[in-house]
Amino acid sequence: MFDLYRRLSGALGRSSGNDNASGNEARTDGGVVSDRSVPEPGSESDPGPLARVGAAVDRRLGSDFLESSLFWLPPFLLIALFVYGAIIWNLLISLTDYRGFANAPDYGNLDFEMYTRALADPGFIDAAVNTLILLVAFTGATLAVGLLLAILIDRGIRFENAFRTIYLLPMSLSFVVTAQFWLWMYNFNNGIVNLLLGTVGIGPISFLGDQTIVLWAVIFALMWQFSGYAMVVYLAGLRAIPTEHYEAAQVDGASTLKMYWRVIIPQLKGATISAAVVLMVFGMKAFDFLYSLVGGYRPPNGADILATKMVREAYANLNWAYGAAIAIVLFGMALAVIGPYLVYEYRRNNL
Amino acid sequence: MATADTEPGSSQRFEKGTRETLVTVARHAVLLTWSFLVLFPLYWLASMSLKPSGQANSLPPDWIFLPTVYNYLQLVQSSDFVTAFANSLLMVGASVVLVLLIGVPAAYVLSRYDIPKERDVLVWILSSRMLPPIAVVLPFFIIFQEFNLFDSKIGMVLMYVSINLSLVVWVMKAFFDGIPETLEEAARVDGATRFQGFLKIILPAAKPGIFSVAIISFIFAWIELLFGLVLTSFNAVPVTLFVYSFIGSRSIEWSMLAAASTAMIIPVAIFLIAVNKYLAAGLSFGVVIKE
Amino acid sequence: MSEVSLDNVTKRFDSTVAVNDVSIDIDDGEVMGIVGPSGCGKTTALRLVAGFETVSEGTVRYDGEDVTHIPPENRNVGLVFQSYALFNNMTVLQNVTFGPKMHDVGKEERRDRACELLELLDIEELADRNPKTLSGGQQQRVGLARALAIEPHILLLDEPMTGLDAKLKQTLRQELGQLLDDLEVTTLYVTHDQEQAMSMCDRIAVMNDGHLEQIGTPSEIYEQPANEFVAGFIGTANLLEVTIEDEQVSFGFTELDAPGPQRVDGTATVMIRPDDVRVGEGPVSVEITNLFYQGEHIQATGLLPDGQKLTLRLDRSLGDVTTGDSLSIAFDPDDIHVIESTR
Repeated sequence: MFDLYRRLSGALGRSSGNDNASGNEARTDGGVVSDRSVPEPGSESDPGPLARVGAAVDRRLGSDFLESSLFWLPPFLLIALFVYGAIIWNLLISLTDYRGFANAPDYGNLDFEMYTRALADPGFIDAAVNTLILLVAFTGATLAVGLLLAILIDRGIRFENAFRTIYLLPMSLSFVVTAQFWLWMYNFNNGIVNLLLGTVGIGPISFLGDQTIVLWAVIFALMWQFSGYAMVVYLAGLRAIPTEHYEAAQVDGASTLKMYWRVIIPQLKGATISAAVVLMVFGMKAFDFLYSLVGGYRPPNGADILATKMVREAYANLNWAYGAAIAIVLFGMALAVIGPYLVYEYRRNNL
Repeated sequence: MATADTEPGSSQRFEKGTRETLVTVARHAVLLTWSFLVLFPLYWLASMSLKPSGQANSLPPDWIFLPTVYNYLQLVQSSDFVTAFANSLLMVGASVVLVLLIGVPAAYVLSRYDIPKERDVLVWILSSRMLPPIAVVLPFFIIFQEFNLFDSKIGMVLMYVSINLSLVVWVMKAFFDGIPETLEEAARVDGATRFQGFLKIILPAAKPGIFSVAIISFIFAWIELLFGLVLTSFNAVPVTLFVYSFIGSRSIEWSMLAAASTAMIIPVAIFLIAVNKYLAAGLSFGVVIKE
Repeated sequence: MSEVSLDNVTKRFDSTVAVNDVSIDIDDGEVMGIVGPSGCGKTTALRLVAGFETVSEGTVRYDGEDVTHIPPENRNVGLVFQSYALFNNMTVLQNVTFGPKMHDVGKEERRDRACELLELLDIEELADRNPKTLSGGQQQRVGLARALAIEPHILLLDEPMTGLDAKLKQTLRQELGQLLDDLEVTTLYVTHDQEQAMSMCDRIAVMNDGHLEQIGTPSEIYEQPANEFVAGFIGTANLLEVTIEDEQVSFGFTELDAPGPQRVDGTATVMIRPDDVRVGEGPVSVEITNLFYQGEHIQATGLLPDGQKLTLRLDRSLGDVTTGDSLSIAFDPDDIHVIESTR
C-alpha cells in the first residue's frame, strides 16, 4: 500500500523533472540511475545497461533494494567484520593453544582444552560468580534508584532541567576519572565515607581491602555513575503514559503510592527491560573501573571479574587462548540475557 | 446505588494544600540529596586540582585553601598531556563525523525504503551494541597488527566508529520513523529528487536526533579506555590512557592527576549542558520504551 | 447518588480566568450537560467537580457538604475520560474492580459488582480481554463500567464520544441516554456538541469565555435563549434588529404585535429560528441568495427588504427554487423571542 504510493509519487516527481524527455516512462523504478540522477530537464536518456540490471534485481528483491543497499550495506558489513567476525575469530583462538605475540595461532589443532582448564581454575569460578553478582546487583540497584529519581522529577518539578543534567553528568565521565575520586572517597584513613561513618560511630571500614565488601563498594560506585541514565529512560517511559491514567487511578480512590505501584509502574515494563539491557552492557565496562582503581592487571582481592581476568591472562600471563576462552564465556553470559530479549522483541514485532 | 465507603468529610480528609506542600518539600529533599551525592565528588576533584601539590592529599582535607592554577600550567607545559588531549579530540571528533556519515543515511534507508528482511538487518546491527566489547579485544589486536593499524590514529577512529555505529543507526532510524513521510512526498511532488528530499527536508527535521547521537557517540568514544590500552602504545594514545598512566606510576602526584581529570571532564560537560534537551531521544538507544 | 453544586466558583490560571463566578446545581439523579465552544471553561468546571483543580474562589458541594479541598481520590466520583484511559496492564475485569479495591471493598463483592455492571452494559464477554484489543465503543463501555463501579456521588463524562465515528456516535447517544435515565445517576456531561447535549441531558448549562450564559432544559435553551451567544451556539438562529414601541415590533419593513411577556420599549434584538419562518404567503418578500440541499430539507439564505440576512428552511416540495427567486414569508408573533442584547 505505502509502497505503491511511494512509487506513484516517485513517478510523479520524476516525470515533472523531465517533461520533454521521451514520453515512455520505463519501469526501472528505484534503479540506481533513474532516481539519483541530476534532475535537469531533458538530460535523462534511455536507461543504461546498469539500470537494466538494477531493474532485474529489483523485480526479484523489491524496488528499493539496490538503491538502498548502497547505504545500509556499509554498516552491515562493518559490524559483520568488526563484531561478529571478531567474535568468531576469538572463538577460534580459544580453541587453540596460542600464547600470544609470537607468530600466528596454530589453527590446525583445535580442542576445548582451555574451557576444561577454566572449569578447574578456582580463580575463574570466583571471577564468574563475581561477574554475575555485579551484573545483577548493579542492574537492579541502578534501576531502582533511576525509577525513584524519575518519579520524583516527573510531573512538574521546578529546575527539572538542572536536575536532569546533574544526574546525567557522571555517565559522561571516564572510569579513569571516577575511579580516582572513589579511591579517595573509600580511603581507609581519610576517605570521606569513613569520615562520615565515623561521625555516627561506625567504622572505619576498609572498603577496598576487605574481600567481602570490595565488590559492593564497586557496585555502588557504578550505580552512582549510571542511575542518571536509568532515570532518563524511565522519565521517557513515564512521559508516554497519558495524564488521564493518573487521574483515572485517582478518581478510583487510589492513594499516590498505590497509583504508582498498581497502575503506573506496571506500565513501565518496556522501559525497564530496555534500560536493563543497556545497563548490563555498561556493567560489563566495570573492567575500566577496576583497572583504573589499581592501575594494573590485578584488581583488589574479591573483585576480580571475567573481564579483568581475561585481559590479565592474555597480556600479563601471555595465555591468549585462555583469555579468549574467558571472553567467549563472558560473551555467552551476555547472550543468555540479551538473546531472549531480542527474540522476544523480534517476535512481538517491536524490532 | 448506595454510597461507597469514602464519604467526603470523613477521617480520610486532607487539606489538599498542606499535603501538597509536604510532598513537594520531600521530593525536593530527595532530589537535592542525590544532586549533592553526584556533585560532591566532582567538586572535590576540581578543588583538589586547584590546590598546591603539598596540600592536595592532606588529612583531614583542607576545606579552605588558596586556589592556584599551577597544576594546570604544569599540565599544559607537559607535552604528553597536550598530545594525548589533542589526539583524543582529533580521533574522537573524526570518528563522530564518520559514524554520522555512515550511520545516518543507513538509518534513513532502513526507515523509508522497502528493503526485504529489513528487520533482520536491524537486529543484526542492534545486537552488536549489546554484546560485551571485551569479547573482541584479542581479535582486534591481531587485526590491527596485521593491517598496520596498531597505534595509529586511523585505527582508533575505526574502532570508535565500530563502537558507536549501531547506536547511531538505531536511534536515527527511530527518529526518522517519527518524521511523517508526507513531508518528503510533498517535496517529491514539488519536483525534488528523493536525495534532495532527504537532504533539504528530512535532515533539518532530524536535527535534534542527530545532535543527540553525536554527543552520545562523542562521550562513549571519549571515555573509552580498554581499547586504547590494548591498541595504542605511543602515537595514538588517547587522553584516558594518559590519565591512567598517571595512576600506574609509583609516586602519584594527586593534584596533577586531579587537574588532568578535570580537564578531561570539561569538553563533555560543555557538550552535555549545551545539548541537554536533545539527549533523551538518543539515550533510549532506539530501544522500545512504550509498552 | 447525590446533589452536586458549584457555588460562585471561580478558577484562575495565572492571569487567565478559566471559570468566572459560575453556579450550577445538579439535582439528585439529574443529567446536567455543560456545552460551549472550546476554551469556554467547561472542562475546567468538570475538573473542579472532580477535584483535579482547586477553586480560586467559591465552593463545591456534594449533598450540601463542602468538598472544595478534598483531593480526587477521596471524593468518590466516577469519571469517563475522553481517551477512556483504560489501564493496559490489566484486563477489563481488573480495570473495573480496581476502584472498589482501592476503596477496600471485599474481593467477592467487588467481583459481583463488576460482573453486574459488565452485564448491565452488555460487555460481560469482554471481561478477560486486554483493553488495547477493544474497539472504541467497547472501550467507552468499559470506561463507564469502571467509573460506576465505585458507586460514585456523581458520574462525570468528558467528551466521551470524541473518538468515535458518526454512525456509532448516534447509536451510543441513544443507548447512553437510556442508560443514564435508567441508572438515575447524577451526571455531569461535558461536550462541545450541542446536539448530543440536547438529546441526552435533563438540563444544559451553556458556557462561554468562563461565564455561565444560561442554564435550563433543552427546550428552554432552544426556544428562549437568554442572549445572542446562546441563540447562536444552540442551533441556527436569525437575529434581527428591531424597535419596539407600544407593544408594536417594528422591523422596518413590517410590523407585528409584540409577544406578551417580553415587552420592552426601545431597540432590541429578536431571534427567529429558521424552522419558524413560514414560507409561502405573507407580507414580506425575501430574495434567495444561497441554497444548501440537506436531504430532509433545504436550508436557504435570503435578503430581507432592508438588507438583513435571513436563514430559512424550505420544504423539499420547494426544490425548484433557485437563487435570485423571491419568496413570500411571514413570522408568527409567538415565534419571535426578544433577546437582551449582549452589547
